[in-house]
Amino acid sequence: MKKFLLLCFAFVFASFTIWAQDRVVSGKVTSVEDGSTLPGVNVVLKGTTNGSVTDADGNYKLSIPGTGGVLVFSYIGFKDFEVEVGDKTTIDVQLTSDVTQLSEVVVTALGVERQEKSLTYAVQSIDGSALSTNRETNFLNSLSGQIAGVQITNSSGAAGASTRVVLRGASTISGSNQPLFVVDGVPIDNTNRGTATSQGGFDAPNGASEINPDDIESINVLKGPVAAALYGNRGASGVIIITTKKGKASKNLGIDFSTKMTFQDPLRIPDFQNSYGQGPSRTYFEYVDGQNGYGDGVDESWGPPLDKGLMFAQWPDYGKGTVSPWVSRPNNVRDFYETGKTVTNSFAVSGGNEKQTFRFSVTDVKETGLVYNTDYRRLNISGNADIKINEKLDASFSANYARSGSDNLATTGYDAENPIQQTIWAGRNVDLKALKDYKNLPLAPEGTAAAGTPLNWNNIFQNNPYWVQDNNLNILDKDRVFGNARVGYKFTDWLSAFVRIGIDSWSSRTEDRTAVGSNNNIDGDYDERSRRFSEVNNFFMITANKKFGEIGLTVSAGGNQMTQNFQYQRGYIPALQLPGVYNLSNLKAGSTATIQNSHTEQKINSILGTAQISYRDAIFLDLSARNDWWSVLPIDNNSYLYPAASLSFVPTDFFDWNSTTLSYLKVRAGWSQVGSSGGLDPYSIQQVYNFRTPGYGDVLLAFNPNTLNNPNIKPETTVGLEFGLAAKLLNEKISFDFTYFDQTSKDLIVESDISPSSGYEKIFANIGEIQNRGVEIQLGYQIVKNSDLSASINVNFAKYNNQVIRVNDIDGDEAAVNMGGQWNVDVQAREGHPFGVLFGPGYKKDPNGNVIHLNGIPQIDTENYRVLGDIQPDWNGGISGTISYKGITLSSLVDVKMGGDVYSMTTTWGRYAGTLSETLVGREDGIIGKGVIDNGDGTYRPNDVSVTAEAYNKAGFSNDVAESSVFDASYVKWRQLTLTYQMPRAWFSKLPLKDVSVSFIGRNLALLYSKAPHIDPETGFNNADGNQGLEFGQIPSVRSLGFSVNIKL
Amino acid sequence: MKIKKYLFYTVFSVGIFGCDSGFEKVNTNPNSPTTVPSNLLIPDIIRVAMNTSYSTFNGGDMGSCWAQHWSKVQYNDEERYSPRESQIEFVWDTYYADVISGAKSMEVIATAEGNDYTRGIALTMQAYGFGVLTDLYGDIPFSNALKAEAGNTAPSYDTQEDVYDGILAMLDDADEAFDGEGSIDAVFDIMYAGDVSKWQKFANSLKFRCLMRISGVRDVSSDLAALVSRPMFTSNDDEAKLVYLETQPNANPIYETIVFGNRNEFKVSDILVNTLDGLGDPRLEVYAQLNDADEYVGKPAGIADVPSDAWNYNNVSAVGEAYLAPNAPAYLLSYSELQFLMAEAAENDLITGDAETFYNAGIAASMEANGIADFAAYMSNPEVIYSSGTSDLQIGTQKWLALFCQGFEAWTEWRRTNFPVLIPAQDPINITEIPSRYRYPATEQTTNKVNYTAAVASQGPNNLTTKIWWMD
Repeated sequence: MKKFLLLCFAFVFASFTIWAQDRVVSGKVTSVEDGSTLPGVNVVLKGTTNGSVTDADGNYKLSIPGTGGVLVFSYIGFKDFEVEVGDKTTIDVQLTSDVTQLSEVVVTALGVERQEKSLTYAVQSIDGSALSTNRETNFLNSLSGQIAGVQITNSSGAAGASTRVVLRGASTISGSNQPLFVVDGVPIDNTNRGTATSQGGFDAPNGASEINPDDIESINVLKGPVAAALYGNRGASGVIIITTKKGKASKNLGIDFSTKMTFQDPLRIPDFQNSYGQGPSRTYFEYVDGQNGYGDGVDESWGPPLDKGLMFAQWPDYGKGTVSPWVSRPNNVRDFYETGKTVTNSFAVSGGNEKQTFRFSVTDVKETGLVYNTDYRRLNISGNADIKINEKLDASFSANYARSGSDNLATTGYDAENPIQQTIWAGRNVDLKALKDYKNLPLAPEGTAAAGTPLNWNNIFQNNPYWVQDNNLNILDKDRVFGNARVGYKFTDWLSAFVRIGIDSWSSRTEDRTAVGSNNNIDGDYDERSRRFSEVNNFFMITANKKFGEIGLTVSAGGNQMTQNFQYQRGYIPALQLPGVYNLSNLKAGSTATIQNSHTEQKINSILGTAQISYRDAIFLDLSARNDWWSVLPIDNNSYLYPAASLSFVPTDFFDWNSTTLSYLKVRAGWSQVGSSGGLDPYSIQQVYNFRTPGYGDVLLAFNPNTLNNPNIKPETTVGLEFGLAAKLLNEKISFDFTYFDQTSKDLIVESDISPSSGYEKIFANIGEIQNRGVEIQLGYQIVKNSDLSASINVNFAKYNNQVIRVNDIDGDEAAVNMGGQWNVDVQAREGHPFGVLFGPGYKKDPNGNVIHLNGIPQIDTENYRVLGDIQPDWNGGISGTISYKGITLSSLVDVKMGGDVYSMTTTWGRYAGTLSETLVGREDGIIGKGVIDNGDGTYRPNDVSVTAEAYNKAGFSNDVAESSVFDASYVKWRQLTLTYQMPRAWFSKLPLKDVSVSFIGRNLALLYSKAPHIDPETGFNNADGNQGLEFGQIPSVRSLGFSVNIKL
Repeated sequence: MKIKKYLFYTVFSVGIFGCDSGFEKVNTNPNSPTTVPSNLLIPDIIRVAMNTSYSTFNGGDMGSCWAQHWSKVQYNDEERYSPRESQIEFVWDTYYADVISGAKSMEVIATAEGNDYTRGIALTMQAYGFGVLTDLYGDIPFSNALKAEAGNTAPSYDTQEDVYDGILAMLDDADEAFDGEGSIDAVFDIMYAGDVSKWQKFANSLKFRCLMRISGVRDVSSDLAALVSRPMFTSNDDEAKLVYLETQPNANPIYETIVFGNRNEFKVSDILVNTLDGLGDPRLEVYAQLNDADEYVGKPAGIADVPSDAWNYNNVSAVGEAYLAPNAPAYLLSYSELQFLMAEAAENDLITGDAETFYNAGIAASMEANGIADFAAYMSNPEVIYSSGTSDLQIGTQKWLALFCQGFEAWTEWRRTNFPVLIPAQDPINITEIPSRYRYPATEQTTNKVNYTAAVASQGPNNLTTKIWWMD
């Protein structure tokens, strides 16, 4: 009986097997667009876990039971495709690329990816390829003019200059106003540790500029507090999220190689006069030793007329007893600049399969600057990998190493080490380039301030500029590693979690050398600083994602632990014993060295949660909250909650309008409260004693600082409200995005003035308030798009009103906080004014605003300074266009900033010294200044007194009066032109090359419009708030032209 | 069981992430101390006080020029009674927030340490600082000053009379403290190298000067009588001065500006040269340098259009080299000044003693300080020989000469005694008399408006000519 049953089972089993007979289905998967085969495509029997993957040639083979069943083909970037097996054994499939699926994915806070339509706040994206093509050394400059409301200011054209990024406007007074930078979910340090001021020092690149633009996949800008709420107390100035390129499976070698070379020259240099030479006398000049002759000690050009056949002893005649022709040199300043050159070589390889992907890249940048002997270099090496260990577990890591530095960074401002200021003071007859051969020039003699150093056209206030550039070096060396490691686990198909550790760690060394004989310090000096920084973020998050009918719910909860450490050491010797030896032991006898160090540490522990509820995939509600515990705050009050709520509604989907005219419409609104770590450093609670540097000989000088710490200090807060609208019209040809925002930042930490009779001059108080309101508009028009030709235009526009409401608790006093300045002008946060006013001395005026003159000289009001302008633009925007025909692509960008002012002391000192073109007026006949004379009885009459051009210019343009040198800093710049030719594949089909393209790149091609004379109004001594709106001796911004070749294998 | 596990993990993770354990240690400053031994605070207090008083922008422009020891051949707006607001601000800020505040915190620490000596120094320096401020500005915050930590950031003003009472009480406390127990670190005591007896002499000598300062409006005879039995300066070795170092930035401020900073417009005045010359005073060649024509020539105070052919860098004598040396001392109180004050007190029967003896001792001390050994001929000059009938003129003039380069003190004593007779500067700006005080800094009008307004209502208009209490 048993045997019989067994046989029955066997037959049934066999027939069952015959019935459900295995067979093999195979085929090839290709792309509809170009017929190329697709490796790594998932092929799955629907409803089962029976699946396979296409190989490198796009072929697949799958064993499936019997007939029937549906095969599902899926591949990232392509639409899923299903096909009934039927009784076929060979099924070839063509997949259509799903461009919309890719492009509408936006990375939001904490790395969460969202569909664009579900975004409830303002986020803007830039594709990494745009940065790669025009590859500025500092990738932030590439963002200029591309995103509404993002203001990019490149501090100068110097190699290694910093760039300032402000999203929407200032929200803090004592903090930095620059956004938080996040790379692959991990915050990194963007601080600028240069020493640039209006009176010297040097600018250094800001931290984020060390990211390699060739590694960037996309940049997402979270502009305001609503978008950045999940970053808690670091989110008030917005967040820039950078996603680096990851590996992907490729049927080619996956190699990407490019080389680029660009040449730089100055975009604009001042207009000099070329009719009168050096000296104070209209009739005579004699160079004796650059200090004690007749006019050679005067670094001004009020001298004898040029090109009239006169002959005088000039600096090349020194020691020869000869005279030379007194001729003009209209290009002496232009010739002083070298042609800058930047060479970038980049190599990347990526690959993988459905289980593992990796990418590895190396990029080397070498840049020489416009100014002789300045440079900047950077090497980036990065690697990342993504591993699917099994269906539930995945792991990834990313590591980036950046090694950067310079053998000499340019000096800024009114400092004898800045060669540009020398070009403003230099006699118009001086051949500056001839000073380059200083090794073969005699030395400046005893009796001159520059004695012992190579001869110069002026030896009392200046040194030979080429000698300065070779000897007075500002050296930078920096090593940095940043990256993260992450492990993720899928509990079920609706519950997942991951942990991630992220690190940013760098160390740097700077040297500031001053050679013996320098005008700044005849004894020479040496300043060496070492810094180490690290930030570690430990992060975990659990996410549940489930759909309940028409309602979708995504809930996440997580926490972060941040630790930040900074160490600093400085050694400074104020005089060198032996010239040319730059070592801290080389201290001149009788001098005292300065030795300083400090160590700071802070921690932020956070828990956070976010939920998105969606209804019918057309209404989205976002709620989030983050609580930060911050070590810098008082211990019994260091916990703050930052909530946010926002809503978006997509009527086109909700009502299924299905209109091609208006194919997409979204309205959104949001509110949030975020914190700011602006202005509050570690150790601000305790009152401590400091030590003066240097001491009194070898006696330590301990003292009680003049600012009282506030034991009840709170963090700053920004409350933001945002409304927006996004639409796609006319068959998706037109895309439109509009945002209105209103942000109030309060409890701003201000070093408030108090009466010094209380024992302290200032106290830290949460007293400041700033308001920021504006609109941002982004408009795109796809003019045409077909397989051969595509053309599009993008316009962005932003206008906002950034006002300082209060800086102290006294009403009606128009108090102000000084954030920086130049000579007698302060850059202030002033109550009732836009953030960043220029406050300084102006002329005395009659009630109608006419300048009062006395004896022909304009009178200055030295007692009552006034607001002369401010740094806020009225509006800014950009227009970019791209046209592409077969393999040729042409794109261009014009960048506009209207409004805002700049205090340009190039005009001040250039006019004082008689070197600028404006000083030609009245040289022969005198000047009758435009203005009035006070009759003494309350009435005024027009000025009719003539004075010499020299007297007039010196009275009207000096550090005593700033009004005449404050200009409208509006500009329109032709920012970029790129022409790329992607070579037809047919040309190299025999070679293993996948893609070859060549590009011509032009950057900062022209200053189409500028109201400020002589300079590029996009300027600053560095990227700090207090150094904006100020200029003197700027290293000119650069026009850059070049080409690049890109080869993919 | 599962619930327990989940609860445990939740609490555990909240435990790791959600709290602030260890934060207090993280936010403890490892770079700077929250307290220092009281001795460590001595040098900065003295140095900042003297750097402020002796700066050419303060004690120079608004001290030596107003007392007409110095006269400038360029940039002389301050000399013509238009002082720089920034410097008026600076003196007020620095004396309060650096000198007196530092001395106050030193007093607190010294009390906690039980170190009477450094507590005495702290009291003396507070008294000195308040004395300088009230002599310059008049009514100032005193009893409610220095209370920012307790929450008072806008203190009320006290009358000068109350301030002086407070100063005198502090100096009494200091004198008593120096009789107690304690120690002074010789290295950090950059004035007296740890000698407590000299500090005690300074505290009492300073009290003497304070009493003499207010002698015109109050009967100080009993206070003075009680004071003379206390230790006071007995020679130049005891005097309160800071001897600077050889190099910038720790050299004498006068050297740092005029010599190191190449600011040569500071010259000597005509009344100084004429007075010294008229008396045949051997200090002439120490106080002044020969001009380009090998003569001693001083410039009249003021004059708008300079430099000119009449008064310029070449034909006016510069300040004497000894006073331009990097290590020239800055005086808090000199022995010679004390002698002249005692001469005045004796002449007016406020103390016992012979006025002439004190007067001669004062001159001798000044000669010694200026390195002049032989001045016998000078002492035989009838104009120099002391006579009761001309005591005011003689004491006033000799004291004025002895206070050369002590800008603040010279101008202050001139305001009190009005000797020697000085003619206001030519081409004065806005006012026509030599200033009687500094204006209050403009910032007091914003940071301390209510109390500032009350002080002005009580003392008089906030300008340079309002008389302060002890001037009447």
